[in-house]
Amino acid sequence: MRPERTIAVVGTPNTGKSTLFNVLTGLQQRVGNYPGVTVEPLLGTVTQDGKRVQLIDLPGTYSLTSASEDERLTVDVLRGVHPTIPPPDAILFVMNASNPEKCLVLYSQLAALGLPMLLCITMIDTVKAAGGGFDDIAMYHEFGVRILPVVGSKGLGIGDVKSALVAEGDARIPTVVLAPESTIEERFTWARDVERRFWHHGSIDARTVRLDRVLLHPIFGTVIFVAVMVLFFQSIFWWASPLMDGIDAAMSAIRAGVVQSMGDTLLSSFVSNGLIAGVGSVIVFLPQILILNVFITILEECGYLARAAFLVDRFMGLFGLQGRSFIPLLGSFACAIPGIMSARIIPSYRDRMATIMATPFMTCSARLPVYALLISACIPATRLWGVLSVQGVVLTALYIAGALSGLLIALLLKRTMFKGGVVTFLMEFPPYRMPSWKSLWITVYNRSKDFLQTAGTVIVVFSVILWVLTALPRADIPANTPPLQAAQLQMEGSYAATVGKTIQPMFAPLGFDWKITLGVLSSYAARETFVSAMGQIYAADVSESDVPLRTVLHSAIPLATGLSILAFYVYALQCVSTMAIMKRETGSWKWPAIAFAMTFVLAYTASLLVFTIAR
Amino acid sequence: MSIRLEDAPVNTPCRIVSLEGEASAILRVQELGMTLGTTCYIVRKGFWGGPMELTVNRTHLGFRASDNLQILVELLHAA
Repeated sequence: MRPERTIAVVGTPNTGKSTLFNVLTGLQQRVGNYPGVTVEPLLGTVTQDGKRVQLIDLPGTYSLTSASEDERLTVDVLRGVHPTIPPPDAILFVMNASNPEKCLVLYSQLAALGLPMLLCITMIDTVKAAGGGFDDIAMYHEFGVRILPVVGSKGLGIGDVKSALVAEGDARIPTVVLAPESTIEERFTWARDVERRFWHHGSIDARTVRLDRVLLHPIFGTVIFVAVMVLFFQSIFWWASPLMDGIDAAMSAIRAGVVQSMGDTLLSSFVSNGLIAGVGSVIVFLPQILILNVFITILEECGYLARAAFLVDRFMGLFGLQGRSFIPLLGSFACAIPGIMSARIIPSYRDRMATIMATPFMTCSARLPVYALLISACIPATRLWGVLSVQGVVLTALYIAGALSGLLIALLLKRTMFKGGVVTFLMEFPPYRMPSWKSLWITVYNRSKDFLQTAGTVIVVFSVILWVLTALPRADIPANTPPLQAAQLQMEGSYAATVGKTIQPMFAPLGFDWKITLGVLSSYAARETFVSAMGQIYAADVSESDVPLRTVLHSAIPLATGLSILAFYVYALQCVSTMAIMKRETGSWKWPAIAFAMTFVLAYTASLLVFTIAR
Repeated sequence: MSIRLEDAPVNTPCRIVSLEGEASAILRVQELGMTLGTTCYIVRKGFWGGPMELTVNRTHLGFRASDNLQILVELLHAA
């Protein structure tokens, strides 16, 4: 059977290309799985009149001579020189009716490739609303390709585009408008001439000008930016928590149900504590991922994201990063997983990688229960100068230490591993517009599905491995042993305890005994596991609150050790989910491995320093 | 007389007369329409060393000057 025809969707940034791709392919999307590709292009299927065609959404680019690594993918695929992605059969070129100049420059280069093309002009509603228009018939005669005007966000003209995509003869090889060796000046001269002849722009976009006067203002703009970021942070931190609690409760109920129906056997323990707990720890991230993706997509589509990056560029520049890095880092204070996923908004590969490597240092919400437990158990509840709570000061210091270290790591990486010339900040501000709700829903749905499929699998596998380590070999527990003591006996006899005791000498300089070592080790699956693991190790009931454990730990852990554990938790990358998503977003296990090693060395050193000083 | 773009006054038409620096930086500026001979305006200067706002034809840009690129302009007439 002949392979399906593939049509590449190509355009400059800010043309509404993603919205059009979403509206054309809907839920028939998947991430292209090509080896050695850092930005994986989306693939989608269009079905119309009983015929099918595959679309590949290539990253936006301004020209075919682009030097940036991210745009090179598009250039290589279109030129047919990409090692793994085959060249497309045709091009669907997307251009923006309200600002055609840069699109026409790219068009002049694409026309010389000799690939059949369809030309789709988006945002015609914006031009018409301003009293403008363009002569698509004259363009058709000059360019020799079919012109398809659409309003992607409202679905207007989409049927015509689909019909043209599936009909093989509709895409035609365009007339070569400029010689391939033309300079960029010559291309702009041509583009401006075409714009002058075929376009009639109406009144200027007064709404965008008025909004920018406020939103980019040094004072008002900054205040609004802070407010938007507070709302963003609140939404992933607080709005998600009732949903996450609900998922937790539902999972606990299912686990209890399994134990009740299957009895207290090894199999029921595997199903409830291994499998279901693993699936639960994947689903529990969904509320945050959904909320974050909705927020980011709205910010991006309405045009605010470029302005936010502009406002914060100076500050992020101090750490070698760009304005867009701010959002993934802020998001990581709630959870590194949505944070790392949102790093997709950073177009530069180097900046994106440096940002991703810095995200695990931001104090995520999973560290909070660990901090709360250790601070209340080890730090005296006294006041500094009669006002400041010492416990509060320690907590603040932990947050600051994490954030500052992460930014410094990013700076270090930008100076070494991801070294590149100081990039001139140059960013186009798209006009403000209402996001397309349909496209928003499709994006959020596809990203969530992608998370569940790729990161989810790894998380479940790790959960099962952790179960094997803690639940086996089965300890000989005398009948009538109270559940708390039974759990303690099981933990003490497990493989995990053997591992903990074996490697304890390595952690002895940090002041960790084998019990603490075991607690720290078990939280390598997820930090919050520390509380339940310590509960098992010290036979304290933590099902309702961690107060009984605080009392036990208060007498068991001296201040220096407590501070040392806290320092360890500031740096250590103890979360398999973060590692899984890091692999997903960087395309290789190399980066999570480097992050793991780097954070471990930092955690060990910080802990050693703190313990030595505090002892 | 040509001056550096960042020294040009706000809301004054400036014609780009020279682009100097790294080839990739020059290309990026040109791709966004800032080719030689094009007129641009500074909408607002950067604050605290941050980027400035520019318009070039119908394109609205954020731009921060850096060592690897120098844009020289000629003022077309005083504001």
